[in-house]
Amino acid sequence: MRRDATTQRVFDGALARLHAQTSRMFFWLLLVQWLAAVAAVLVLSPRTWAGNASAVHVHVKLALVGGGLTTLVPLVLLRLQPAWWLTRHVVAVAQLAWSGMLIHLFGGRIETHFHIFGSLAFIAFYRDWRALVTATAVVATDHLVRGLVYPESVYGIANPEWWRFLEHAAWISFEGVVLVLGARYALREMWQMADRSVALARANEAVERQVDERTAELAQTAERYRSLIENTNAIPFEYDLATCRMTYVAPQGLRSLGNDEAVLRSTDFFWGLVAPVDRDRVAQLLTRALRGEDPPSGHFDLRLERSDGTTLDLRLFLSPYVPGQRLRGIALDVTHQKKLEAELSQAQKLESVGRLASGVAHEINTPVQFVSDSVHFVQDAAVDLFALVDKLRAVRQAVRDGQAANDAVLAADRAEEASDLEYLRENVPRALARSIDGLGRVATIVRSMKEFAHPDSTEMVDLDLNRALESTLTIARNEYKYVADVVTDFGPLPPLRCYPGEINQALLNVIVNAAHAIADVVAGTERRGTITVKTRAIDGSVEVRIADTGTGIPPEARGRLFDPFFTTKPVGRGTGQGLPIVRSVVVDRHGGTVDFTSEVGRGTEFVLRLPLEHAAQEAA
Amino acid sequence: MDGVAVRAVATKRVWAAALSAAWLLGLVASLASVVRYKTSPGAEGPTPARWPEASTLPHSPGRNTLVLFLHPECPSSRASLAEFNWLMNDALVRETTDGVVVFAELIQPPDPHAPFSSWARAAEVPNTVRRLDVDGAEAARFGALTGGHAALYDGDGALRYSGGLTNSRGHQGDNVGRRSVLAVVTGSGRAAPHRPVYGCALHDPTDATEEPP
Repeated sequence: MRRDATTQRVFDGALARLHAQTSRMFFWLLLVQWLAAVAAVLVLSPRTWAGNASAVHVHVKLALVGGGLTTLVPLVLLRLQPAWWLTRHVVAVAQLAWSGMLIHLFGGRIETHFHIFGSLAFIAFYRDWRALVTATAVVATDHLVRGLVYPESVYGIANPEWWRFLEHAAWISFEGVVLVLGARYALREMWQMADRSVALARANEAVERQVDERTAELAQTAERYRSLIENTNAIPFEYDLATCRMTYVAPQGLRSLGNDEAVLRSTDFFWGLVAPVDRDRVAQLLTRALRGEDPPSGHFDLRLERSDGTTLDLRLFLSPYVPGQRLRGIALDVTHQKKLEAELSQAQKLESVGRLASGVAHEINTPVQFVSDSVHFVQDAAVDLFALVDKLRAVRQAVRDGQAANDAVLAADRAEEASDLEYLRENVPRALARSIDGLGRVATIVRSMKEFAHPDSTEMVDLDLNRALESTLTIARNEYKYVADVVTDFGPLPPLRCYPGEINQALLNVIVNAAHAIADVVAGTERRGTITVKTRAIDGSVEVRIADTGTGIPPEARGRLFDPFFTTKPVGRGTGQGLPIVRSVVVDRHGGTVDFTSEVGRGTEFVLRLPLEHAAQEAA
Repeated sequence: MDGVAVRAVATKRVWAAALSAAWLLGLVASLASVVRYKTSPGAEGPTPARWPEASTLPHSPGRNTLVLFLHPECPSSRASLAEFNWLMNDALVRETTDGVVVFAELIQPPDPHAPFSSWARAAEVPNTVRRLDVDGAEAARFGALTGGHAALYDGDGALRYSGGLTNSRGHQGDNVGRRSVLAVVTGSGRAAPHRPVYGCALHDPTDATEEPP
């Protein structure tokens, strides 16, 4: 079977290793045999004698010199050329020479012939049939020559049969054939192993090549991903809850924060940046994460303060909780967006104010009108009264001068009659009371406007929600007073920790929507609708229910109710910003909920729930 | 591997091959010297055809007497004594033959308790007596110059065999000398009257033929 060069090389390598291994074994075997032989002669025949004289026995010399010659040459070859073919043949000769010497020393004892069989088996470890042939040839030659010259040294008897040599040679050949066959079989196995190992190496090569390719692809993908991630405004990050350190912040995040990576791992990197107003919320978030709870769905907004005093608004999208107490997610720089939102919110508020201005003006005008009428009445009354006073003072002067006062008294009577004093006594206080009432109403409207239009606070403050609702109803009165009656049912409420301006805006939006919905139903009729406003404190929350008897929300519009710029109102009446702002204020800014139930033709009820948790924490 | 390296390896292997060939020759020469040493017989004097009258060794009339001369320290003595023991353990031999082992007297007598002591081993041979040959008188009477020399006299005092009981120096095992003694005693088989003697010189240290170098 023809094999390629690689398989040949692998086979040759394995064979060389086998030869070297076997050679190492023979190195020690030959050495031990030699030392054993020297030890044996030193014990059994150390000296030879002639009468009283003795000398070193020739056996000792022979063991040292002959045994050394037999052993040292193969030992040198085994050490220097362990895998060379000649080494194997020299070893074969030396080993079988030792067999011959052993047989000779034991007078040809048949048992010592087993050394030959053992030696051949050892040589077979080389799996080289040529070495076995050499060994067999040495045995045969030794038996042939010594059988002729010195038969008792090899057969143990002085006059063996002539065919004794053939008998021994036959046994040795028998073993030789077995060992050669074994060697061939072993070589065939080695070839098979070489085939397998080459196939395996090639498979490994292919796998490694694939791994290299995949690794390169992976590196490309990683680079692409890194480039993608680090060149967008999204900032991936990872925070270690156990050590309170940021373990990763994408480079663009560090740039945004004005920090370098050196300070990234400091414990106060994060906490030092969080704005005081958001620290409670952030602490709550981290506490939840430490408990292994998933972060809140949606996003989490917070404000950071840079060392230079500027602020950075971030919107965090947090990954579900991962084991190992790590908080991961993506942060978006929404500073500009927040600014726009604030401006939009203010604009929407101003738009509301503007839109309500005529109604508010009307609301103010009515009391101003009757205050004005009353003041004018009082003014006229004062003129009449002062004229009467003048007449009466003339009567007093005439009486004081002792003159006749009849004329003066008559004039005073006429003046009193002209002034209709009884009428004035009855109506001037009323006119003044109306004026006070009218001025009070104006003051209320102005205060409501002031409260509503007050610039947004950056910090939460305590708010009396019932009063806020009253104010809102006041300034929105002109929106509903021609079409609906308002029914309020305010329960006792604890102070609500919130952003008041935003809450007022949300409540106004819902009330104005209710008024518009009713107006659509009652337009052109004498009928009036009802807006019902209820407040309750329920389970750590404040609940505000605002129900109307308006048109109801069509089912197809319900899913998009909170989408920005979505509106069912005609142009000029709605901007589509009302309910999105309600949702943003209640859900995002205050962690509350907004729900509604609606039935077309019957009306809609909005339910706003605002948690009191902030207030509870403040109290604690 | 470049050409220089290939040539260097080739040269080294040629030297190794030449060395191996020389070594093979040396090996054959060593084996040959061993064979030569082992098969070189020792010196012998004339062994008297009749039992020497002056001998003090026991000899019973009507019974064979097998006398073996040994050097007490010589390693070859162990092989000769072993063959002697083999013969004396033969039932027929023991029935008809007495054994005498005569040890050469040395200035420094050997330790009888040493391992492989021939003196001690000889005591275990059946039907045999040990004698110390003072001044080598008995060896001289029997013409024994080399250890391992055996002489078999029959009941009439006639010499029936003279020579070694081993086929080479220190070599145990079947051999012509042993078979000859057995043949004489049992009266069957071919018997050679004389065989060479292999062993150490008994008395004369200057005899070059005793111990070849």
